[in-house]
Amino acid sequence: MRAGMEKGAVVGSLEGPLATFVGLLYAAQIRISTAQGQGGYRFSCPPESLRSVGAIHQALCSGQFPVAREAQDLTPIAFMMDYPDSLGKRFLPFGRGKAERTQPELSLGVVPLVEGPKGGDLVPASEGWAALAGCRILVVAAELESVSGTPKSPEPGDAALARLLAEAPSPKPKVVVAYSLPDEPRPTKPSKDGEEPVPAVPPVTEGPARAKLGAALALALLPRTLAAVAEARLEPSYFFSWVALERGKGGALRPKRRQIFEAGGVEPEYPFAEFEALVAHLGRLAS
Amino acid sequence: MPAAILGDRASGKTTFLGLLYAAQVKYGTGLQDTFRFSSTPQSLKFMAAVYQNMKDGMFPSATLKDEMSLVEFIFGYRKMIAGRLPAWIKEQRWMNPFATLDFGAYDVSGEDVQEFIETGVAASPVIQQLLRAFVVVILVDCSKMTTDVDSQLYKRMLKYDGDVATLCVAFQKYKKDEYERMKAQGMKPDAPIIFPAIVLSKFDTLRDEVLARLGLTRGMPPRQKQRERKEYAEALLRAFLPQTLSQIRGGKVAGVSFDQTTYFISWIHTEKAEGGMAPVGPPRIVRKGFSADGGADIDYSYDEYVAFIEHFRNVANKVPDDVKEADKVSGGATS
Repeated sequence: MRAGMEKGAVVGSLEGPLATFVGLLYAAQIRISTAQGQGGYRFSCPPESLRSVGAIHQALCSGQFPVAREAQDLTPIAFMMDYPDSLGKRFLPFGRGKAERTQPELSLGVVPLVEGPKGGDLVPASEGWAALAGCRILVVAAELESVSGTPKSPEPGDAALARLLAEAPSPKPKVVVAYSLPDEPRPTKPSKDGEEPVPAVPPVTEGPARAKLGAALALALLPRTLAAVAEARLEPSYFFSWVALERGKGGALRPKRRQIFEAGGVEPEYPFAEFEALVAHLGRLAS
Repeated sequence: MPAAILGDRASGKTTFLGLLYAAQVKYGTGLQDTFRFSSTPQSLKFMAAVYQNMKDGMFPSATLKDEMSLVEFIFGYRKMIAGRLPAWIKEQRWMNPFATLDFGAYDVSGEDVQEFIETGVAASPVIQQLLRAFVVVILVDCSKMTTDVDSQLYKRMLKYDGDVATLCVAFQKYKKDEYERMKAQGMKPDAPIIFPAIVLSKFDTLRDEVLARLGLTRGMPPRQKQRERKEYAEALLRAFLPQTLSQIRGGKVAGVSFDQTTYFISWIHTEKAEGGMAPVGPPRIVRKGFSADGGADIDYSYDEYVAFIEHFRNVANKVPDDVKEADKVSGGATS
């Protein structure tokens, strides 16, 4: 890792929506970095990373769910994320400013949680430990059935995530929780005629409402992780992810795709605004 | 300077090479010896055969394409000063009077390249040669650009995008590793840079519905309007080669710059049946009438090919000869 670059990791259960989440994060970065007129955000993937994440991307763009059968399908993935230079970085010719001007702000790896050698709780895959060492930002990919109602049981990786946070040296890594829903959440029907339907997930501009919803869900879905975060006196941030589904030939559910030719061609139908905000948020955490 | 031309199967690589050969034949004989073209005997025989077929109105046959696995040729550009020295000085071979680009054309769907893309191991000499390229020319087949996302054409383009993006980052990694190695040996190398170019092949086959969806006109803006031309080409790439575009832009993040990408189009006029429909049977190339410039010439985007040749004059002069020496020394390092 280069000097001055923060290190982060996306952590989630291998059996869960981790592969899809990483694929959507890749798709969003493609769209952000190639947008017409924008000269700021760029990202790079090492060759081995591109092989893995490219396969996930290809599956999603072909209307298929990506499948990660082994940890090695995901652990090579790493994003080197470079944001527009801050004022300090651009104009300080000496010291860190000069050295870091050309460095990416964040290196984000992927660490799947897998079954431990003796069964029981999930543990980080051994191939992912390199991404966790020195990690300053943890993005938790958690599976959520619905935004309304209380989750019935904690996320399978909750204990492992809490352990990671407890055992991490000070200062503890900052935590971002990304909830993955099985489909596009439907807006809540208005209680009165003439009123607009209320989005199931508050838009990215409504910070307090999102924080309240995210925290309420985390209380049931990630209780141990939340306790570890509170002990470290940290405040997590929350994002929501999904891929809209449709019935394909034969009636099987498959990821829906949309054609946004002016902004990336064909891509899965997912909440780009959430991921755009997530990428920006990671940049703020890293800088 | 090593250069690579990358294209998918049936993307128009062989036709592109034939047209490039045709262009340099006409262009090279018209100039005051500032441009030279040379090739291995096998490659020259191949490109000449393709050219001859096209002058007879036929596209290259599958049999002809199968005869060559790797086509190589050299562009030579007379240097401003070294190229104009007296003959007796040039004969001493103290310096090269020509700046050269050594091109190799590679099939991205070929076995060697696919094995490298899947494993990352540069076992074959072909791949080791490919990775040394400073110039990367990417052929993008416009006939595969479609709005039907469930079609084989779309899936083919999707795979090609992933493959080319992987090759681009492999070039970056190789250059970065070479740079670090040379620094470790006490040398003072220039910062690594790759010179990309994109050729939109079969440009005349671009579908109207694709242009409509992108809000583009049928014709590419002229070469003088560089910004509009770039925006036009990038609109197509953003839709059909987004991974490649993102990794070209992300090259600097990996420590290797990509120079400003230059765009070219390639088209060749083919016969149409009545009503503008495609004729029955294999398409036939339209030839222009006999003229003083050359009899029965092929009707194709000659100006674009000339621009392609001239574009690389600037690129060839940018890299000093000692880079080529260092490249020879590095040999076939694995990725």
